Amino acid sequence: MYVPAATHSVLQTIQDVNNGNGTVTYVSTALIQPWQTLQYTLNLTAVPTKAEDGWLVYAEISDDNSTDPLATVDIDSRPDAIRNNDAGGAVNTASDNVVTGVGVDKLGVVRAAFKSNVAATDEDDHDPTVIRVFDMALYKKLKTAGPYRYGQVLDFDVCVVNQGNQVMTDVRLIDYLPGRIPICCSKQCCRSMDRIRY
Amino acid sequence: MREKYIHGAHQMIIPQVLTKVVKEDDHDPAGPKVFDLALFMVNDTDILEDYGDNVRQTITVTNQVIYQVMDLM
Repeated sequence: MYVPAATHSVLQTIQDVNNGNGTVTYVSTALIQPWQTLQYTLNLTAVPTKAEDGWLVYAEISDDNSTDPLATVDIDSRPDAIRNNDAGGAVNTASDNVVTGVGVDKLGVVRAAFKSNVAATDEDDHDPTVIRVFDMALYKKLKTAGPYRYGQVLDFDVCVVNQGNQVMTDVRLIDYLPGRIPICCSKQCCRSMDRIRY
Repeated sequence: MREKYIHGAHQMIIPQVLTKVVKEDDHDPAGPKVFDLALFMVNDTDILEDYGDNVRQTITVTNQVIYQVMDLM
C-alpha cells in the first residue's frame, strides 16, 4: 500500500466580501490539489462588547466543489452557512483546530452537538477562535438614600465587573477615603488611616 | 500508447511490446475517490492590548484527499 502524503502550502490572494450581517465571504476559484492548503487572513478590529461570545469567531467552508463529478460530497462534513449546526468546535478544547474529526455520518447526520469538546466527532470544515480580552472594571455607588445626618452610617456598594473573557481570581481592591472618617466594614477588610483594602 | 483515467488515477496503457521497458504489467494502482476539505483557524494575536486594535487570524483550508494505492501480488 502506498500512501502519498506530500503536503505543501500556498498563500492565496483572495477576494473577500463583508456581507454586512456579521459575516465575511471569501471566494477562491483556485484548484486545490490533494494535500494542498490555502491560507486566508482575516483582519478584525476589536471593540468592547457585553455580548456573550462577543469575541468568538467561527470560520466555515460554506460551499465547495470537486473537479471530479463522481466525488461531490465531503466524506466527513457538510458545508453550509449556518454557524451553529456543526459538531464540535468548542474553542480552546480538544475539538479546537482539529482537522481529523468525523463530524457527520454517511447520511450527513451530525454526530455530536455544536460546541462539543470531543475531537473525534468535530466537523472539520468549521473552526472557532476567540480573541482573549483582559478587562476588569469597578464601580462604586452610595447605597443609602438621603437626606443624611452627622453620625449616620452610610452604605456603599463596590462592584467589580469582569468585562473581558478570561476567568479572573485574587482580585484586590483599595478604597480611598476622604479623610479620617469612621469605617464600618460589612466584609472582611483591612483598614488604615485613609484607605481600605479588600 | 493511450491514456485513460481509472478511479482518478492517471494510468498509462502501454502496448505489450513496450511494457518491459516502460511499465510492468503485473503492477497497478487503484483506490477510492475521497472528497475531504478541512479548515482550521488560529489567532495571530494572543491577547488584545487595546480596543480598536486589529486582530489578525489565519484560516487554513486543506484538501485532505487520500489516495490509497494498493498493489496486487
